[in-house]
Amino acid sequence: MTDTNRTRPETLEAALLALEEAEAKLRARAGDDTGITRLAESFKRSEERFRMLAEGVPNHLLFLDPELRIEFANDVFLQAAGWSADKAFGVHISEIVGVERFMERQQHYERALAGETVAYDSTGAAGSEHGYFHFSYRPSFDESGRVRGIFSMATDISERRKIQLELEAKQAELLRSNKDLEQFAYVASHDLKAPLRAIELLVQWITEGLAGYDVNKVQENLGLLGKRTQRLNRLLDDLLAYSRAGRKVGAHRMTDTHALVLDVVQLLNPPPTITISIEGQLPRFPTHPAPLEQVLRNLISNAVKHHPGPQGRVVVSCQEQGDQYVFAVADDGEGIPPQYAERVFEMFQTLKSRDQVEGSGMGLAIVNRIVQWQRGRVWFEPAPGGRGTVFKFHWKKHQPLAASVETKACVAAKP
Amino acid sequence: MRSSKTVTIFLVEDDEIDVKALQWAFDKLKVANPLVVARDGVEAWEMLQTLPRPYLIITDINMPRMNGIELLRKIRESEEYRDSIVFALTTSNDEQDKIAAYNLNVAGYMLKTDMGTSFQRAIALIDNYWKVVEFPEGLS
Repeated sequence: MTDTNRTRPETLEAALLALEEAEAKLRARAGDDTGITRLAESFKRSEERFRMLAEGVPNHLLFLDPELRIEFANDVFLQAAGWSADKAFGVHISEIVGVERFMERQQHYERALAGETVAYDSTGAAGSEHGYFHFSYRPSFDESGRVRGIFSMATDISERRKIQLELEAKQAELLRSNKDLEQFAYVASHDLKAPLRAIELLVQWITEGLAGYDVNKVQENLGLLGKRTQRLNRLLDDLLAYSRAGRKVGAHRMTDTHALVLDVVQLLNPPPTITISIEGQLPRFPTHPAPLEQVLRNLISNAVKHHPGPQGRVVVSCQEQGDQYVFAVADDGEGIPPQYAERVFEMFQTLKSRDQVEGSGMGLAIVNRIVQWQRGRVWFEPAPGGRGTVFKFHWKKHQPLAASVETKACVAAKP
Repeated sequence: MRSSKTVTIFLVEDDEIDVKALQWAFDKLKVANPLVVARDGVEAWEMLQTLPRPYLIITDINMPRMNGIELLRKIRESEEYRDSIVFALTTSNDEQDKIAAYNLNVAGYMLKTDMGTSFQRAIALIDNYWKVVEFPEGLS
């Protein structure tokens, strides 16, 4: 919608006020015989101007009498509602907009009839079920101060609303990315520095060892050096994966999630002591397979990696729940104490020292970010058998507006 | 009357190489105090119950399960261990961590990077601290 359209209601209301003033003047001078013809002329011109205005704007305009019957309706409204001017005249508003919608608006009409100017936003107006409209009811008073009707105006603000929602989604995304950036600055100063410092120390020890202090330790320290270099590499890789999560979502296509999980398992190549199985048949639906695969891969590989052994079982299942699927990855491992319910999903958080279990602590942070990107939730519960953990997450059947907006923005941003 | 030899140094540190480096610094400076190591706050809190007094705690901040700040809070909230002397030795140069640590009455906040690669300065400082600073009877 353009700016001129948005300012029009103001102009129109101003015009109506002028019209009322003209009418008042007319009545005041009604006794003045000499001016009566001139005044009648002026009244006619005024009326004509009002009609031109009323038909020239894109808004729905109505004038309702105190019983809420149509006294005037502009063509925009009549066309949208599918009524002709002669039939609509004198008809109660509920007959035109429908009883259900009338009931929703009744309180607003009553307030206007009590002398209050009422404004509200709501979905749906005559001829547009899904549009978003701004309504204003302005009471009109006679000279004794009684309400003699309501001037009703509906403005289609669907476009503005859409932009507003997009803006809000962008703002939420901006807040999230700011928070991420803060967190990144923190982890960069610790988690990335820690292995670098260790490398520095090891190099010093190796140098000293080679200088003859303790040659036997050189081999051991070189091994440690290699491990720390790999760790640093992995932290950087996972940090990059995290920064991309929910941004580079790839293609949207018909996806057989059953086959997808089988592929993930094959690629993971779990040790023979761990059995991974699928309960029932996983769904087939159109979605972005790449982020879904990443979520499932991270959850399944976590279940395998953290299993204390000697024998383990991982079960993947899925349930339909309204507009989404609830995927579950269950293991019979050590389980996670409930007090870590939030921490496990944060960046670089591990429940064991990296010297015990090599891991970046980014796996679940990436999962969380991807699931949040499509407005879902990820959480864990103790496994029903009493041993192990079940990770569950929501996956929307249809990607939400914000997600597709973001995807679009990304496509556009590609060089 | 007081001997530094009797003081147990309780190190809370999840990185084995940093532990090695500290041990090396201890040897180099001939600090003979017994050294006890916990891998994170949870383990440290469990070990604290069995630790002979007097002791001095050196804790890292960023650790799995319970970090150094959370451990400090737990120590300060407990009737039994609230008077413990705790140093923070960390890579975290974050202002929030420093503020949190001092609010929880750390004896000192030291950056691993400032301590060079050997930790000798850190250990020398802690060793001297114990020898010079006076404490009430119960603590020492």
